[in-house]
Amino acid sequence: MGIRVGQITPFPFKRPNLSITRPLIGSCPLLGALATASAFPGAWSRRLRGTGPAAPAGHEAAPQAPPGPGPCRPARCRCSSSTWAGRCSTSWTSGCGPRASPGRRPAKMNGQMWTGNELESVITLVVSSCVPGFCFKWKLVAVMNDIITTMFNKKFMEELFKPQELYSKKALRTVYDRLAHASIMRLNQASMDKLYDLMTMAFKYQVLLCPRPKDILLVTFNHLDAIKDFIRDSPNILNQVDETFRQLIDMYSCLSAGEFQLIRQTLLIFFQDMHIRVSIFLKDKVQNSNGRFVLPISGPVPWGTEVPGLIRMFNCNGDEVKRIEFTNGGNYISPQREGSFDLYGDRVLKLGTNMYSVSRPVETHMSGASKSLASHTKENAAPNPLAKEELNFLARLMGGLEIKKPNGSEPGFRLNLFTTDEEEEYAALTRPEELSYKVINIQATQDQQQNEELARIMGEFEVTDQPRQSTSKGDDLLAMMDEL
Amino acid sequence: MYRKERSVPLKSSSSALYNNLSVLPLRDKQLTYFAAVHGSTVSLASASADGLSVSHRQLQAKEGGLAVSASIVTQASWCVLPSRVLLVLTSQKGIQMYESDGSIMVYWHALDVLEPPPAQAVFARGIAAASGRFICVGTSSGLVLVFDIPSKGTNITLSEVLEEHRDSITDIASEVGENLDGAADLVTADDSGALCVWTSKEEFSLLTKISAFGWTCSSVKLWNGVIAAGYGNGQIRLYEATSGALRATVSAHARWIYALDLAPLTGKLLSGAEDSYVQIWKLSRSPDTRDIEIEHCHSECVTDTQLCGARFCDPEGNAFAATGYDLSEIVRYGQV
Repeated sequence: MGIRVGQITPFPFKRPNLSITRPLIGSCPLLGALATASAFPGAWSRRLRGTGPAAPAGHEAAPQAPPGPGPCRPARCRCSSSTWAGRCSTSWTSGCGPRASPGRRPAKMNGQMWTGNELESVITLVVSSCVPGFCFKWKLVAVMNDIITTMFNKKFMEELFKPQELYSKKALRTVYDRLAHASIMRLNQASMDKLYDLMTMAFKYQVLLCPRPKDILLVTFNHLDAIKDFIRDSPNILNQVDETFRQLIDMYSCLSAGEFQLIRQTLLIFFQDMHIRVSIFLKDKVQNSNGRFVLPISGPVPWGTEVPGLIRMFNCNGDEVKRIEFTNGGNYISPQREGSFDLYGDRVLKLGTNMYSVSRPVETHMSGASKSLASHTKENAAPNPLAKEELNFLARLMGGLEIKKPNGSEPGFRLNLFTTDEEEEYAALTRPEELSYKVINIQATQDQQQNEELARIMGEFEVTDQPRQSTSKGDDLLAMMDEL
Repeated sequence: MYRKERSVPLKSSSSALYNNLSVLPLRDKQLTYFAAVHGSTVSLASASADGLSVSHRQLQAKEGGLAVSASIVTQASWCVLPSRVLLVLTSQKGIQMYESDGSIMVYWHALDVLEPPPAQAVFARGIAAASGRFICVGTSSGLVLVFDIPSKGTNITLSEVLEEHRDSITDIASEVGENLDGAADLVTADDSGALCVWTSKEEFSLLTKISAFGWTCSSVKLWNGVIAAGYGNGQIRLYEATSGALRATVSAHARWIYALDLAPLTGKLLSGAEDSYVQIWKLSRSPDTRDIEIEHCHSECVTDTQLCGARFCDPEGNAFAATGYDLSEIVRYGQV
């Protein structure tokens, strides 16, 4: 069969017409999707996904929403933020809204410790950054649709699926910045840095912990499943995502375990020596204070692996002559079933799903919709004492929200992942130099001279079916992304 | 019983690559050399027996003259021949051989990347000294390159290419126990899990092939006619080298095995895996039936570390060392 590991691997051949090797994380198209998807993973789904099967986006339950307390949908945002928060918390705890996550007060922002809340706040802010007269849904859907449309743009995906080397960190960051700014949502540098760090650490965790190398595909599928859920009302975008899904299945489903391991090892080289501490990981005890992830030595072994502890010996005729058991030190159990690698299906694996859900989906094995519905109900019924605190925090964030009108009549908004603008500025100032990026607003032509690598990558995003006057490939990429 | 001893710090952390630790004990100098790969560099450390005095050296995977960009190193290993010791590096670009202390590069072999199949990954991986004067290196296309090493000087030549594997070579092992005439001298393993057993007289010839069963064989060892192979499903399998018959299966680890090592004087086997465990085993042959036997001796957890390299530090297996992904040190254990 024609699928070769090099199509995705990191140890790929050198492109003949390139003078400088370009390591591309996107070489794994998986990664393209995942880089972004994992950045926004759970948080968005949490805000957007209803709790029950029928409940649509959290904040604005549809008229035919299932029984239960009414939708918490402030028709407009004139109410003060605290009032709004109060109202919402009421309805949330009574069970209609999304599962509220435990409120985590932001830890000190001057270090590199991020709280999970911030990412979540982005979403909440998207939802709640309502200019009077603007419907939540419109805003929310617009932002989500913009970003997802950009991400799954056909040309963009074609580029990601081309065989290429691992992206450099700088290149990935640039692409990531552009994607994040593909909508009217605006993040300044400090917030963007924070989001990027969170994304990279979340994805490092997923790649490191995935039980078998092949399961990185399930992680990506979890990302895509969540993305599809955001846009299930937009058939056009849904088609785009499904098309990417099919491409992934075509390209990767036939790879061997060894080839997947090669991909995984290459991704791990990208993430090597990144030890940024993430508060949700610290809190959940999946990350140590030194930034290293905790490796469990109990629980189910990967699919296809036997629980360690048995030696079997055979004689020269192949007959088993002896069995010895031994204790290996861990406390493992057998896996129950393998996740689905199809377009639709139960992935079983929880890595890559919502990392902010209250009761983190534990590795339980349930089957059938009824059971999962039951579990949701149970989660929702349990009031979360920290929810109010979280909402207050969000309310403060909203207070710090600055509304810009970029051009024309369309209002934009700026997101600040810090509690106050001062903190944000402070974080930007104190961020170590090597972690800083000067990327977001790129003058492509100038940049091309400054950074050949980036320029070339941009060049490869060129839209070919729309002839342009511009002679700079870098201009094209930026223009293309602007147009999307 | 083994007890943890002082760790040896590395200048950079180890990458997640199979068999990513090489150990060279220098008994006369009371020193031990360690080598582990980090991306496109190799961290070398020489440590005294108590681990108190350590010196470092970093090797870059420079391409022979045409250094355009750093390529990722896939493995670094010392090859001990009767006449000399060489440090061999494999990378995406080719194979480099250094003097044992890493000071001088004595040989560079570029991988033929003129016409790779489109989008094919190209690299070398799997290093072993064999039959007294050869160094064997595997490639991503499944070839095993056999280099003839003179007792001194740089006149290293590619003497033979073994073409049996269809998948990327993962590891190569040569006999570390008694070398009997006509017995197996070399085992090569690949990504699909297939093993080839070779014997060498004038040339290498295929003795037997052990077929794959769906999991990558990431590490392999050969001791007194017994093949020990570690797989991606955490299993260790023992085979009779001459016939290829399966003699034992061990459900040893919960995750992918990354390293095996054998202490030639005692038959101790060591396995290290992504489940953070190093397990110590003992191989023997039943005096009556000549059946191969294996027992479990010891279990050691390197907390929160996906192990990528583990080795005995002496031929008796009285001490071992291990390193893992993202870990900037070599943890050492000694027998008490």
